[in-house]
Amino acid sequence: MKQKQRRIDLQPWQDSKAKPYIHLEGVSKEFNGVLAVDDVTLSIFQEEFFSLLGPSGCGKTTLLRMLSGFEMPTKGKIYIDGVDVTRRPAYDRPVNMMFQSYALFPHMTVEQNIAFGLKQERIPRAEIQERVKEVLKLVQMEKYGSRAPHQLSGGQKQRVALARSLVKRPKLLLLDEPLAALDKRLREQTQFELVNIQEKVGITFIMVTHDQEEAMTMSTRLGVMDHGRLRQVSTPNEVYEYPNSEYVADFIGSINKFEGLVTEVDDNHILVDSEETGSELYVGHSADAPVGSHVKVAIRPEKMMIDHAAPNQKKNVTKGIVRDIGYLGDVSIYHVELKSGKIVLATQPNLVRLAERPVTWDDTVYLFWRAENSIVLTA
Amino acid sequence: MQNKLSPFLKTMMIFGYAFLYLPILTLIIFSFNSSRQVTVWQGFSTQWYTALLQDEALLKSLWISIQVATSAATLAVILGTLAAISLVRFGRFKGRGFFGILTTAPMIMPEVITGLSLLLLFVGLEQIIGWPHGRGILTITFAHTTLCMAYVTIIVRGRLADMDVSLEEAALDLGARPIKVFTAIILPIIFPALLSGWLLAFALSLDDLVIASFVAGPGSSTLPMVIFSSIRFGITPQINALATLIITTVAIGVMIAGWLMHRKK
Repeated sequence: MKQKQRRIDLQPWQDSKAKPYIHLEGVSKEFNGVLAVDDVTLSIFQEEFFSLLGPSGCGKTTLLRMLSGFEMPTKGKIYIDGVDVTRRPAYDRPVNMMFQSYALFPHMTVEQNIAFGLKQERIPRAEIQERVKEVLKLVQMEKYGSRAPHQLSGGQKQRVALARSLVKRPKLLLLDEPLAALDKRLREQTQFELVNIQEKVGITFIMVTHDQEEAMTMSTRLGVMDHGRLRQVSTPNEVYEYPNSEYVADFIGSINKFEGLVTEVDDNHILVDSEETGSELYVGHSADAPVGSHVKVAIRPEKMMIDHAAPNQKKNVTKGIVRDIGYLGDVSIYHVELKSGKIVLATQPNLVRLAERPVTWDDTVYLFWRAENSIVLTA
Repeated sequence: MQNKLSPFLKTMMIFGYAFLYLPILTLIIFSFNSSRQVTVWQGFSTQWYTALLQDEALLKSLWISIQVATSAATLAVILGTLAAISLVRFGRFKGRGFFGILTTAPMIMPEVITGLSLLLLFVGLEQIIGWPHGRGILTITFAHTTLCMAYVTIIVRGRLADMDVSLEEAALDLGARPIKVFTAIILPIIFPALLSGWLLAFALSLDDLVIASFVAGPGSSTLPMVIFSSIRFGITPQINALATLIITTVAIGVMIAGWLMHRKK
């Protein structure tokens, strides 16, 4: 996974004395008896770029709409910079939102669109003009101020929408799938731009997305949601390397899981006996799993090593036949069938060209991994 | 793409347009006829236009019709827009379906029934609360508003349903209060629908004979009522002249409206 190296390496969530900037306290939202958001408690710190990630219908958009004031929570409280805003209407919150459809007013020019929010605050005209100019420069759209929205391309509309939501200098900016309407190439380029702009203006961002790559690339931290609940809140790296549940592990990237019985636990390792691999699995960290309990040991495909020759280790190794190879250009994904019938994925960088590849279809190969690269999933 | 029409389609098209516009064309031509006979061409003359300008009863009824149509169309646009907004934007309130049917009912109701029931209503109201006093321009306006509002509601409702809700949310989010959202965002965006609703309502009101006949009082005959009653004494080419003037005005109005809307796009 690529992650942009962040300039701010402070990690306020690590500091127990740090004061959260945005705080949700036991927030729930019910629609006709169905819980869309279920008891979410979450603290977000100043200047964070936080992502809410989850499949459609997981409640992430509802959560965003409660922060913006378009929905009122059924239960719970929302604080922004220490102020309870739970019952405040959308027009009376220090929060702005960038809509998925961009929602540019079709009957106004780019400049008028951006100035709209400032006009509501009755700011003097000269200052409005100056701030509009400034923000247009920030998103590199100075030349397009007098255009109408329908004269802009998708990427330009996205910039104008961003400018319009930034110009009021909100305490919190919400982004609802901000890049979903762009094509892949433009999206990747815009991801970094958006992060750069966020760092420049120093506004706290909360983004909703279903695209895990987007969330990983852009966020300081992300929250994985499922059925209205927050399943895990952590840094992209942490969520990827140490998912706290099978759900999170499956949702972010792909992962191989082996069922097994815990035979040994202590402070720095766990030993699991797995029928699926036909070997003992040694996990290099401890977990809350007593001896005799059923657990799953999970390893990411790119951490799997693959070779014809047996490795120099007795644990964390299994054997199978290559059934399929997915060629992606930079990497290949090997689908290896174990004796138990289980298919294991192993990703290998294509260091040599396709024709010279050492491992090919129907080869019998060994799969093995380092003890510190596997994790135990108990939930 | 080939733009050539097959001979069959061409013939159908010519017949179709002829069917629609030949009567109107005949009417216009005969308005310049010098004969008193409506169906026999004698020679070119503008005498009927001169006669028209001297026919006070006809001109008075035209003035009444324009007054009624203007106020009825304006009222219908206001009420119809409010109805459309409550139907589209206020969620599923209790009785929403019933309300939706009620607003459009005057459209499918036979005009005779609408006219009669409104007449009974006005008479009943006058007996109970003493208002509206008698029948005249006011009652015709109310009756036409009832009819036209149904059409306006449907037009505005369609436009509102097409409008992205997030535009309103974006305006709220940027600090505009609901009233401001309505005047600064919703109104300008649905304006074309309001304009076409108004024009349609105006045309409907100008055109109506049946309902007006029920609810009109002495001295408040509308143009269609006067024309219709004049048929009994034999139609004069004066009516042709008047119709020609109305058609010309409407055509110019439609062209201007079309041009304005095209320019906005």
